[in-house]
Amino acid sequence: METNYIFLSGGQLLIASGLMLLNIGLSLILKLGLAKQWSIAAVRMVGQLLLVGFLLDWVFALNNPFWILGVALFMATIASVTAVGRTQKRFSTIYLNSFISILGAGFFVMFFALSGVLQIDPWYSPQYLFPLLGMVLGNTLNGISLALERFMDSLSVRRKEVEMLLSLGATSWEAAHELIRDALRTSMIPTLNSMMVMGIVSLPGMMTGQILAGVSPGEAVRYQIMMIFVIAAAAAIGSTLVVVLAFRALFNSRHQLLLQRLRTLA
Amino acid sequence: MRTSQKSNPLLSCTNLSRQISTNWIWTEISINLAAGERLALRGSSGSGKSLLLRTLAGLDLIQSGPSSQSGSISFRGKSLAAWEMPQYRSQVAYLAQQPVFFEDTVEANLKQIFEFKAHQNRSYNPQKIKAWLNELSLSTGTNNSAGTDFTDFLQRPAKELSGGEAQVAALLRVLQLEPQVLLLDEPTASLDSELSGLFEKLLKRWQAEIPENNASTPALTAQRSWIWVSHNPEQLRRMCRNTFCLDQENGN
Repeated sequence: METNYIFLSGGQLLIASGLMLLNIGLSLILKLGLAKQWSIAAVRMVGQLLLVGFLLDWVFALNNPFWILGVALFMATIASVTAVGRTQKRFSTIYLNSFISILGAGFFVMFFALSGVLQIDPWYSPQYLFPLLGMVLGNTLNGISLALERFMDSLSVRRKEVEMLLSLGATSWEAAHELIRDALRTSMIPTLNSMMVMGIVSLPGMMTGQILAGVSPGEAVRYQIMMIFVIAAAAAIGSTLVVVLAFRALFNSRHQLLLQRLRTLA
Repeated sequence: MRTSQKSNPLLSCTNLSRQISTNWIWTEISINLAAGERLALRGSSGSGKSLLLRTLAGLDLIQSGPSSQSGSISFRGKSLAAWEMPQYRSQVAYLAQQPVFFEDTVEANLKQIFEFKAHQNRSYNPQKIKAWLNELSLSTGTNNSAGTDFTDFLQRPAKELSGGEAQVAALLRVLQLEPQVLLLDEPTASLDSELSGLFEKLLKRWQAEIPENNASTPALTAQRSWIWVSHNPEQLRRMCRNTFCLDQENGN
């Protein structure tokens, strides 16, 4: 890889952070009440990213598969907790289900991308693993939280419809099928839409990053294409897994809908 | 604890209790419904009539009672746990107070149930539906000179039916399953008195019929039954022989 990019010094970052004064100033002038939040967010963002950079540098240097897997698992855990955090309704095994879904989807597509497509040796090479994993987890998280939210919401709203089907002799799967389909469509449409307009409306972050780092646009695009396929698959697998697991948590083998297991957050 | 005694019950429940948060709605209820029996279920608002029907339909979990004894339900001498739920529910069919349809014609809604695995050996029978609709004087759009002004009932969007028409459509939908026990939750609450009368007549005739496909079992045990919830005491007097009242429970 070429290295004809500009190294950013601390002073240069300080200049960039001056833009935040604009945000804070706007908030004060227009009385948006966001000045404090902008400051907190800016400090958090800088702190978190510096920490991540430091951690990744450390893991890169170790280049040990167990440490790399450990950090990857930690990232997956944070993603699965965040996915649940956005939902308004909960059931007792929701965190576990979210974790299993993120892990299942993430493991499958990462294995596919690293071993099947990129054929990297060793497969855990952190230079490839972490950027890919970050994007995979981010998209899977979005898909999972949309699917969960929609499925649980429609179970409560359309309860009568589901129980009507059950009382007419439908199995729980037959009764919930329409809701499962609806939840999966809802979770996949954002990914589908962004794929449709990719490159026209949005220039993806990874591609722009590679271009900044000196990769030719024509080559950066190839990586981006692979990445879009990978994250689309991850989101689809993750949301399907999580909806099936939620279905199993909220119906029992006696084909009963157990809405009492759902608690709405106050 | 109250019991309605009958030997060889078709549907029986023992020691059923129901708690919502910390309130006991009813405790240790036992009911025996014989084949051919028409039972009225009475009780003031909030006495848990619908909850009892839902429990009998297997839609709700059976809870353990205040002295933590577990209740049970059995049908045709077989405990609920031994029944395949879809099979059980098409024999002990629950008709909810508020009918629900998906967005399509009435006929598509009636046909929908035959897509279920449990009913794959049955098929939609338009003749039967039309005969029932005739009994209820609801136009089917064909060879009914008096009803030609109506839009064909079966082709109308189910979501646009009036409250009464929707209750009728929901009844026909469940009758297609040829259940042996109907759990009726205020089935005529939205019907005018004329349609309500026809509705009762149809159900009475249906109840008196002996189902054909049960020819192997003795006629007496194949007789149809119902548990009927209504706020109309006259209707319960017309339609039912026995009464089970949930209100006495309050003093317990």
